[in-house]
Amino acid sequence: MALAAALFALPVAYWVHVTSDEARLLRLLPDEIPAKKELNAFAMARGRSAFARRCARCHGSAGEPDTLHGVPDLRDHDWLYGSGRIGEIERVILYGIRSGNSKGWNLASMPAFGTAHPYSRYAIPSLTPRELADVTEYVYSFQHPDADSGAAVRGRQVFEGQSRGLCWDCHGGLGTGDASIGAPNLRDSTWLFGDGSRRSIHASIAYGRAGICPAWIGKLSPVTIVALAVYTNSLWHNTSDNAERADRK
Amino acid sequence: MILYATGALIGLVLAGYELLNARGTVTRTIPPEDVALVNQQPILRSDFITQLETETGMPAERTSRQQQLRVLDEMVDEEIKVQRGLELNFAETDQDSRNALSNIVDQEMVANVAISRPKEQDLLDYYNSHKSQYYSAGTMTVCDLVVMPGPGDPMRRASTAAEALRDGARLPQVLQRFGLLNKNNCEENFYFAHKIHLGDQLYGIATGLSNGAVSEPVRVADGVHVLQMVKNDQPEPLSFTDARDQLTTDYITYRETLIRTGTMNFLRHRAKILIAEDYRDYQVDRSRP
Repeated sequence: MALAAALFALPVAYWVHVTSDEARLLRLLPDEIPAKKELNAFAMARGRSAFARRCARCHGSAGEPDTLHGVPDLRDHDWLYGSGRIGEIERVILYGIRSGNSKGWNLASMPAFGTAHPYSRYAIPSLTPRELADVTEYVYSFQHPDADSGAAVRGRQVFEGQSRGLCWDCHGGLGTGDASIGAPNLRDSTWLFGDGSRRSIHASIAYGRAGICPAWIGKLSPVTIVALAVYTNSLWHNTSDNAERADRK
Repeated sequence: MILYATGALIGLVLAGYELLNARGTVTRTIPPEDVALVNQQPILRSDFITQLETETGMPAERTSRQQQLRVLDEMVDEEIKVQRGLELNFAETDQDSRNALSNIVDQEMVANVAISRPKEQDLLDYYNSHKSQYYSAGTMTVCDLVVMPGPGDPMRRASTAAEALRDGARLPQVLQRFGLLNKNNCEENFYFAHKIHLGDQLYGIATGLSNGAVSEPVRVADGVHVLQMVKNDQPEPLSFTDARDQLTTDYITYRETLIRTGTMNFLRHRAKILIAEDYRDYQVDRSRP
């Protein structure tokens, strides 16, 4: 009789314990979770296994990049959307990027300036082959001092143009990007698509880019989504140089 | 035995009460992922935090209690208004709501395709069956010369100017001597852009000109034109690797079209659509490309 009671009580006690951890995790402000050692460990364990099952297909087992498909490196400090805070990551996992969910990140895409209709949402002019080459050279010059300076100067005029190019509108006047709309920083050495060569920069400008991430709301439980956000945050936060950057923020 | 019977009776009474109670099931506890329930509709903590951070411009943990409560109050208000809007059937009668619903259903139909990553083999198969679509854009540097108003027959002036160009005369001198205007400043551009700028007729002639060739005079709506081709880089077939980015987009678009068409056909088939006598030629179950 006692054994039967114990067999019944043990799973119940475990369920109560897990549910209680889940509830506590969900009620915390996301960015406060790492400070709670026990809950953080719970979230990390759950997040790690969910990441392997749900995210690794695109992001790799360790959050490594895939520049052929525009998959970002989740281990570095360079966040395309937001600044890598747990709450921001949770929102991306919940609603996705260009996922078809109206709460997802879906404000802008890279136009295809070498095509007849560069942007699907509204009309913007195509660029000429010369303008494309010049803007490519200008962006290339951010990392390569040996770039053709004449072409780069002309490219800068297109980049900063008010009627053509309009690159500054998303990437900022200096090309440093805008994390509130997912416009990448063009001045650093991190490339979302391609390898930063003239050819790959030209392809991005000529044919456009629009990376995607699914919306997991309704497909994963709320606690799994928070756990995934905690785990993903840890991928970049756990390296020493990134931790220093985070502290400075 | 009596204990079992009593238990069963209590169970039956509770079940009967819930069944006959018109309120349905009401949750009195708020799930931990929600910050509030308004008539059982949840307000997600994540949405609340996003709203809070958007309105205050600072991380949630730095916001004051007062700010948090104000934002929560606004979100409760919004939820109540949305529910009232549904009661008043605005989803059916308000055009903005209808547009929003139509768009979101359209997006929802193709969401799984839009976020999918095509398999390499699928892309290759698509490439092989649509090879004729995958060419480089093609560029031309072409001078569009138009005869300006002046003495003499414009066709004759254009013809003489074309002959002079073919004989090697320099363009500025020909423009001046025969009264022609270099309309596009010998623009270098993609084929598709020239098609827009030149118009179909002139574009068709231009694509057939080789480097250095000069066309016969052509009369179009705005006057008589002569085309001088400086450089014509015709579109070249793209390899699978070079076409890959475009292929991915095209393949996803193709799959989206299939899904959208299939879903709409299913929904149309399921719907009871009655068409007035004078529009009987309307095809309810048509397949849209």
